[in-house]
Amino acid sequence: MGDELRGKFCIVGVGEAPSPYVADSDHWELNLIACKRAIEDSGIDKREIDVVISTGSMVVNRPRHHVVLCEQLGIPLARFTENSAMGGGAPTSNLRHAIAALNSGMGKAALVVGADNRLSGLGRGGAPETGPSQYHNAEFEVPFGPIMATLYALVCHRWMHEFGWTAEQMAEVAVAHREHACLHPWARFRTPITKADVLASRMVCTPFRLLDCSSFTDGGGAYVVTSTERARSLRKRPIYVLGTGGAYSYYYFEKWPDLVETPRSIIGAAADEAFGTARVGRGDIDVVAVADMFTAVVPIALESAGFCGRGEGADFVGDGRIGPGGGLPVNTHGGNLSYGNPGMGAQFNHLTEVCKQLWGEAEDRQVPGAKLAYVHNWSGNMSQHGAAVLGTELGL
Amino acid sequence: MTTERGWKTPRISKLGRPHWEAARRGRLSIQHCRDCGKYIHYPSSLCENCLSENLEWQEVSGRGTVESFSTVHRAFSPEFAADVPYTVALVRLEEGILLLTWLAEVAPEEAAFGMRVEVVFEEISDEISLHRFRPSA
Repeated sequence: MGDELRGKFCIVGVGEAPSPYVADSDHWELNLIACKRAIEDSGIDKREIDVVISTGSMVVNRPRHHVVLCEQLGIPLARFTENSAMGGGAPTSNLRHAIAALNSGMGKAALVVGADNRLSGLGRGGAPETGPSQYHNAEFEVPFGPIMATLYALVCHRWMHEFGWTAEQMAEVAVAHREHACLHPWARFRTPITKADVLASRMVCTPFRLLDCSSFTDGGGAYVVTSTERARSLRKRPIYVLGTGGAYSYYYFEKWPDLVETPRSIIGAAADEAFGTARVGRGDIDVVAVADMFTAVVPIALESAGFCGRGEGADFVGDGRIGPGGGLPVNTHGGNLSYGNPGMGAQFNHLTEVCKQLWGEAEDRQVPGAKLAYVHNWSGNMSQHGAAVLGTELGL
Repeated sequence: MTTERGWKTPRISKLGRPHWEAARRGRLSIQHCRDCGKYIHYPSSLCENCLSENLEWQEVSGRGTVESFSTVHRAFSPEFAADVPYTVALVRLEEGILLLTWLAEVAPEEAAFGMRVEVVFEEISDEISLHRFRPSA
């Protein structure tokens, strides 16, 4: 985004949908509760909200999802709405959409939501089939039997081969996420695990064992964005959007020029834009949230975003660095790996969690003195990337 | 979410039909741009390089190398249950394009990065033959 937008818009409230998984949770209930909590957290009058961006659902096929939400929330007159079904990438991608709408003068305050009930809505049996049906090319990929994990496995396996990354190193990512989740009352998985547990879990799809894979849940989150000027008279300390980045290109792997360089360059483009606008260095960041649908994507995300050098991602995530109390805590709510992956709004809790960190509201998970956060979400086959650098007034 | 036709049967598109017709004859055919020479896979209405609509189908070598692979141990559909473990691979053809496929005649523990492979076809119905790749000399 343009340099002049640095710190011009703020996140002023967040809400999280009921978690962990409860049987028969309803897609609309999750969305509405997340929105209600975000509105209440911000203290803004709901009638001020005139931009509504929703993320849709993997469970409920509802055209004009965003307008139905306005109706059920009693938002009397929205000026800009869209259902931007960016999947996991939605939290930061749709933050950019919200800022674009607000900065254009089309609205004054934006509500952005992503919540879904993938686990109860699709079930344990149905959920893996959403891979073939939604992500893979039905003509040239599905007949060869890739499961949801396979396409990520193909990329991650190549990275592991190229740089000599080991299953033991990836297991450390699973352990760190579980350690975070053990500190979060809403995480789906809260039983501590060891590296040995990960390595002993059943093989799903090489190189991923069961505990290398994220698990489905029901949940999601929402946030309210408005101008810094308006934010200053609301109840909470504003969280400044210092920079955002977006990068969208390939979808099906057949088009990728290279399994290592293509994702590296796309992730790098989103991160460079966000950090460049924010005028913040990677070393200044206190807390991180990145996509973690599988263990090995975490070092790929961090390395590609410039937190470490080429091929160093697996070393970087070791020795407890990304776990609780580590040098760079990542996904302190437990991430998709252990908090859970609710579906179309898969990574909204990544964003709401870093906001809680910046407000000092992360309870047992609090990173002391956190003032700058980096969030990077993506969706599909590593294809839709949004990134953001967020900060308190101390990070300005 | 099963379908009447099953997952193994490709949803043949108007664009992709020449590929499957060639496959029935045991030939690997890939879309090709007559203007800039780029191979295009999966098939499209346009060349993604030069946006030309002047496209044709060309038989390709059927030879390539394994760029990555993943052995599936858990079938997502009963249709694949008898096949596990099977190895999905991305093969880089000599013509430069990547193809998602299935390794044939290779035990999971023998699959390797950079393995040289060649196409073979498995007839799964009167209409459909799927391309697999097996080790080549």
